[in-house]
Amino acid sequence: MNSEFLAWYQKYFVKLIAPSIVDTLVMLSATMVMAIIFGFFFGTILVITRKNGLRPNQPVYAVLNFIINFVRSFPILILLVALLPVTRAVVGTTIGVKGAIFPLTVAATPFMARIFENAMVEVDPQLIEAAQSFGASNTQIVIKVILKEAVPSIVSGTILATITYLSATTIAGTIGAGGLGSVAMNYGYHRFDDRILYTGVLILCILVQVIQLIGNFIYKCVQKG
Amino acid sequence: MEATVIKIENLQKRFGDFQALQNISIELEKGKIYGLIGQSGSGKSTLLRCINGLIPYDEGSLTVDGLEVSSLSGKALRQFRRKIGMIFQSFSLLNRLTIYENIALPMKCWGYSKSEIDKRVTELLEMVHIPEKRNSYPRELSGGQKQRVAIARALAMNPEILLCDEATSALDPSIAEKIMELLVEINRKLGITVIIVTHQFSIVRRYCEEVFILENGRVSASGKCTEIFLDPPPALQAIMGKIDVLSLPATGKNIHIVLPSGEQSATLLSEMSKKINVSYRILSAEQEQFAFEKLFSLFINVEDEDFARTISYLDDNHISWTMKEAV
Repeated sequence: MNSEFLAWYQKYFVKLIAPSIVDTLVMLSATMVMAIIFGFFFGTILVITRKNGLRPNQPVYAVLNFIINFVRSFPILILLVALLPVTRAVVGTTIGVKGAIFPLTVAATPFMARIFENAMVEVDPQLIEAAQSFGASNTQIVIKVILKEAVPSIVSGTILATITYLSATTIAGTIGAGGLGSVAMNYGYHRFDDRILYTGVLILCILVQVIQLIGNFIYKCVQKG
Repeated sequence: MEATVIKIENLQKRFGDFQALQNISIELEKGKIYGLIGQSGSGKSTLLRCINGLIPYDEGSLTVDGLEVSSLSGKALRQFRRKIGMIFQSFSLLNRLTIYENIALPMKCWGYSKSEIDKRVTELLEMVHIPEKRNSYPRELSGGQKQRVAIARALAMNPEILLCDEATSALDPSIAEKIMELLVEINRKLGITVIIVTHQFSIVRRYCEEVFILENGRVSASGKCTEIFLDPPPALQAIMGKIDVLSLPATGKNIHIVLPSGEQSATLLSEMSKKINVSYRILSAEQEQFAFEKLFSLFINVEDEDFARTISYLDDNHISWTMKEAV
């Protein structure tokens, strides 16, 4: 039993599962970093251009709002498949970690944009009036007041998004991206190897717990100020 | 001394079909404390925000130090706003910044040096009497202390005018008084013009020199607090809900007498009945605290035939009075 387990461990865990954990983490972190950058950009535009925003602009808001809703209405798997030609044109490949980051970013950006928007809209409008009353510029208001106050909400929203997109990377794994999802499906499910399937699930379980733990810790830190 | 600092002429503001401000024409003098009182929706907060350009007005003129507010935009408007501090009902502090950082924020936005900021914040913390809260966060402070921080922040840019939007409405009455006393102290010390928007008439009565009553977007009454509160116009009665509660008798004549507190007041009525042989009924007697003085407010009822003698006695003694009809 023991030597059999060791052999399995050598063959599948070290050579297959461990690298797939790295793949998953690379996909997830690259996707989230990009989604945070673009999500911040689009979320800020939404906040500024919305009715009663710092510079209301109905057409810009309406168009952006529509695009975000449009992308978000795709089930993740369908979106990944639908984007295949675009992915090939942009990245040059549709498979592997490299081929997954682009479509996952496209999927996660609107999600993050909404998280930024909601967090920033929650900031007390009187706080913004106060900043205007001492002559702060719109840029200063966004950075020094709105963003500053919204950080805890943004952090908790980002944790939520990270866990959501961890599961998205596993879905991407079923259509050619690497990572834990691909291993659990191809080696576990299709080859009836429960050990690999449930090891994958267990690792995902642990990853979710760790992300949440780290997230809660950061949330606690930023809430203090 | 009595220079006009804010001049408003024929100001109009509409929100869609709703006429928020109508033909507002008022002048405010430098260094005074003004009260702007009205029920919610009367336009008082809108008027306040027109003064520092937070809300643009549609027609009319609003000048601060001779500068037309609607002519300003962009950087010029931001520069202009430095001259006008503002505090709010909800204190409007950044929860994630310390008290020090909150007060420093306006100066940071205007690119002051670290040492300048440090000196000014220390000064301001002393001025609002909470130097020990320097490194606390807003959530560790009471409502009154938070408003003190907001006042310090509003004063950071050395403004000439301080706008207070329901600044005491979220506070307990005793704390509200402390905050008002602080505002009066700052007004005296810095000569800053203070405009207080509130629906709490007790605040205006005690601390403001002049008051404007807003009703449905119009100024329905204005004047010295002592005059206005002792003979309240209908608009104010609606807010106060007080004097109209007093049911005045339908027979005889009802006279409202206003007296400065002191020796003469205490004996006025007994002197009167002795000298002119008039008997009277006291309907209500109250002492009211105003910005600069305490006044007695008396309602008496005399017989019709005694009325002429009574008022000539009051006039001879230079006592202000008004006649009140039974409601």
